[in-house]
Formats: sequence, C-alpha cells, structure tokens
Amino acid sequence: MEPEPIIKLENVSLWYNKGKPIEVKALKNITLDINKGDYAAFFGPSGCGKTTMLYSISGIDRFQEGKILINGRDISGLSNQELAIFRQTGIGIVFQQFNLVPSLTVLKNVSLPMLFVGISSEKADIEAAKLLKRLDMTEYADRYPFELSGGQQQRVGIARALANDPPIIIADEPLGNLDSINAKKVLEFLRELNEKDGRTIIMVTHEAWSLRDVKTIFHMKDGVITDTEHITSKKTVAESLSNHLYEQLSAVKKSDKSTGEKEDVKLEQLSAHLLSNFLLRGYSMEEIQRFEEILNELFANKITAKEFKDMINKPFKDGGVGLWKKKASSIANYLEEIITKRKDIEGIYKSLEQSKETSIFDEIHHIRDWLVQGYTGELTPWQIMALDQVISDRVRNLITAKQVPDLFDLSKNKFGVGLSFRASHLMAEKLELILDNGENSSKKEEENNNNEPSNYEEIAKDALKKL
Amino acid sequence: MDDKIKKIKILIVDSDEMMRIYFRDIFWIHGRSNEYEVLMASTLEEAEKIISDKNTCPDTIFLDIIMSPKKSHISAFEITRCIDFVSKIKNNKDLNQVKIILYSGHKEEALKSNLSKIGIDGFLIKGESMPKEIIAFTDKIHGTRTNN
Repeated sequence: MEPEPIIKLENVSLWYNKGKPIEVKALKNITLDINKGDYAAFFGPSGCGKTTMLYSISGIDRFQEGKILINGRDISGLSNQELAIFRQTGIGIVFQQFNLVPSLTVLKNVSLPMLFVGISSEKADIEAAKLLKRLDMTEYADRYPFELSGGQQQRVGIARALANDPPIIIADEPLGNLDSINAKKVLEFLRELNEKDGRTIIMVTHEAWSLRDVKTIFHMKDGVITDTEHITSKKTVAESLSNHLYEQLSAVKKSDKSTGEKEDVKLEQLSAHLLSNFLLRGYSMEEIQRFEEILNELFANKITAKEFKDMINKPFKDGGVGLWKKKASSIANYLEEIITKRKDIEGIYKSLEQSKETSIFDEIHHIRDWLVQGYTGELTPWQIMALDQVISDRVRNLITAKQVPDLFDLSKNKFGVGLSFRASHLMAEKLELILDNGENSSKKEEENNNNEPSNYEEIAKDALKKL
Repeated sequence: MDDKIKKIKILIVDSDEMMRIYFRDIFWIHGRSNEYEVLMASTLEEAEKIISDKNTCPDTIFLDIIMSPKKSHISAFEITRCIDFVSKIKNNKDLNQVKIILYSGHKEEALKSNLSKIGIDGFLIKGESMPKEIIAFTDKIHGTRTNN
C-alpha cells in the first residue's frame, strides 16, 4: 500500500510585503508530499525559503496562494482558533535558539503547551516530568533555563515540542547552537522520535552533515524546490548529496558560456562546499561562504597552502575568515591531508563525520575550561555564558586584545563577566597566548581604543562598525 | 472513496468553543478522520437537534455539564438538566443505543453515581486526558484499533 501523505503542498506561493516596493516572493509555486513517518529535510543556503516553508506548514506564516493539506484538510481555511489548536497539538517545533521562557522552570516550560489546551496543571506537570525523564533531564526540572548549558536547553526544547504528543515534529536548524556531542545527541533523539514513535520529522538545515538520518531531502534554492531525493538503504545521504552537488555545478558550468571553455566539474569544487560547511560549523553563513571562496582558490592552485593559512587567519573585515591561528593551522593541515590523499567525495564525507575538527562552540568551551584552570573563585552560569561570549568574539576578531580584560573586568550588570582586575588580566593574557592572531600588539588597535568601555553592547557595536 | 466507508459519529457537547474544536480536531490531527466524524454542539438544544436527525444521530456523545449563560459556576440546575438529557436518551428505545460519556472537569462521586444509575456509559475527566488518551478511550468504547 502506498504511504499516505500527512502533509501535501499544492502550488503554494508566499510573498512578504506583497504589493509593496519591497515585495519578496519567498515560496514559488511549491508542490510536494511528505508521507506519514517520513524524516524529511529542507536543505539549502540561507534565504532559500526553507524556514518560510516550515512556518507555512506549521500554520504560522500565512501563504497567499495554493493549498497546504494536513491529513487531507486544507489549513488555509482554518479559523484562528482552529489554527491555534493545530499549532498546539499537531506540530511540535524545536528551535535553533531554544526559545524557552526564562522566568519559568524547566518543568513549567515543558508543561506550558498543555495548559493551552485545557490540561490541568497537575496532569501537565506529571506529563512534563515523563518527558523530561525521556530526555534524561529529570534532575534539572526545577532549574531555570539560564542555569543550563546549550545542549541541556535544547533537550528541554525537544521535551516541550513533545508536550501535546504531536504527530509532526519540526526542527528549525536544531543543531545551530550546539557543540558536537550535544548535536549528535539531538540527531539521535530525532531519529528515535521518527523510528520508535513513528512521528513525521521535518528538519531545516544548511549543514550537510546533519542530514545523516533523513529519508527525503528537498533541495531548495531561491524559493523553489530544485530537487527531491528519497534516500534508500542502497543510496547513502553522502552519495545523494554529492550527486546533487555535481548536478548543480554542472548546471552552472553549462550555463557559463561567456568563457567558452569546457570545464569538467572538479571534485575539489564539491569538496570545498562540503568541507566549508563542516569545518566552520557554528560560524555565520557569510564566514562559511568566505572560507569556501578561499578554499576554492587553494584547490585551483591560485594560492599556496601558506597563503591559504594566512588568508583564513586574517580578520573578516580584511577579506579573511578571522580564524584564530591554531584553528587555521589545524584546518590547513587537515586539508593538505585530504588533497594529498585525493579522497573521493564519499570518502571525504565519511572522514568529516569522524573528524576531530569540532564546532566553534566546542572550541570556545575548551578554551574557557583552560582559561579558568587555577581560578579559585566561583563562576555563576551567567558569568560562564558571558565569558564564552567574550572568547567567541575575540576568536572571531570582533573585539581586540585590549578590550578582552576590560570585558572580563566589567561588572555583570553592564554585561561583562565581573571578574576581579587581576583575574581579568591573567585570563586575557592566557587567551592571547592560545590565539596568537599576530595582531594583538597592533598600535592601530590601541589608538582605536583609548576610551574606557562603558558596557558590552557599545563595544560590540563599535567592533561591528569596523567590520 | 473514504466517504463510502461508514464512519463512527461522535457528538461533542460543550459550551466552550476552544474545547469543542480541540476535541474534534485531535482526531483529524492524528489521522483518524477516515474513521471518526466529530459533530459539535454548544447547547443541549443544539445537541437534541443533531440527535433527532437520523442523518446526524451520533454513535457516541461526549457530554459536558453545560453551564447556563452569565453564570460563573455549575449549580444544581445545570446538573439536573444534564441528568434529564441523559435519561431522555436512555429512555428512548430508538436512541438508547447511543453511548453517552460524561466529559467534564467535574468529578463528584454523587453525580457519577446518579448518572451511572440512569445508564451513562462512561466518564472521561476533562483536563486529565491527553489528546492520544482521548483517542484511545474512544477506540476502546467502539472496539476499534488502539495504536500508539
């Protein structure tokens, strides 16, 4: 028997600011089926319409043309009350930013959606406790979101998405703010919700590696589905992605008649795309794209390995990626190995999965742990978060070496870390030792930073202006 | 195709619109619209109309104690009306096969005992039943599948 579509889109189009000069058509005549029990992903670059797609299916974004049928019923005809019930009981959303209510405990965050549909507070708490147990979060039930790590918050986010036991789970870049270990845990859990519970999972992602368990991939670009692939056991996600990338690049080459040159699609061009997305996990799309451009230059032998390393180490504002020296070196070495061994694309994909290269979140956590070694004071979760923020901004070259101790020293109510003067300077010196960006003693920076910082936001704004 | 399969008809009687929609739509959301057709009534009078029409007469009624307009709490008056409504159906030989479930937040044992005496078929406590528990309960009383 043919599986029945739980979600069916028929010629769906959605405009933002329709009729205004700034009108944008985010979804263009989309037709697709997602079967019950599928694990589907919308995959594509930022701005391709994949998130709009999710929010249209969830009944949050209202589309202007076409139909979205859930179990055969068109949701465009639903009243506001019907939509509210559908959103609360039909769909569970896992957000990239977790979106927990800061003033509620973990338990109350999970029980909240049940209260909306008339479940009593006592029953909701019992059900929420069961969900927290499933996510291995029982011991954190009475804590507040700010007391949890990113990985723990995401597990609470998943528990909350399951609150009213919805048949459809939507995950919007669910790994975006997680370190490798927690990202893997989330992927395993999504697979369990699909395989064990039989729920339909829909994920939006721009990271190829997070597609490892999906059964259907909808490739998106500029508001249209460019390709749909059903992954069978014979065909791995890696194969499927590489085929797709080959096709995409072939199409680009075919349409590029200006040069008159017939060029084969090179393995390296495909690799650059996959590698950039993987090696720079957690970085912004702009940073990843910049990295990919530089990597393509390396693969095309336009620059040397040394120049490559220097370029990715340069601040973003100067045309680089702003990677700290150690990261730049380790990436350069890793790439050299790949180039030397000339692995095929599937081999690269597999080695990426096992690579020791970690996301920026892991690195920041490691750096922070190293920095606080020997620090005898107690750090609150808030201070740890602030510390991570400063490290992250410094690693990305968004702030200067001189600003670091000031931010470490700045009081908590001004969004600093609130460390003592001595500890701030010690830690800042340690941080510069590990980063060694080669620009730390720049006189220019000193000149730019004569004024004492008044609060974190001002410093960040200043830094951003310079980009 | 699906319309030709005889669906089980359920009538939800509840004065709260959100609760009516919630009860009806969980069957759709969980993909059970092919088996169940859920009708809605906000008053006992509306419910009687639906029951008396043989095209809409339900197999099962989920009945809340309908509060009178402008009242803030349930009194003996509403409870008496509810008991009368149930006994009227149960005493009608054409309708006494219709199952009636009290679906309410009220848990008083005295009320339960009175309704049991006049042949009510079950109780489901509102606010203590998760969507899938409502579906499982409905499956059970109709002897249909209970998955998940």
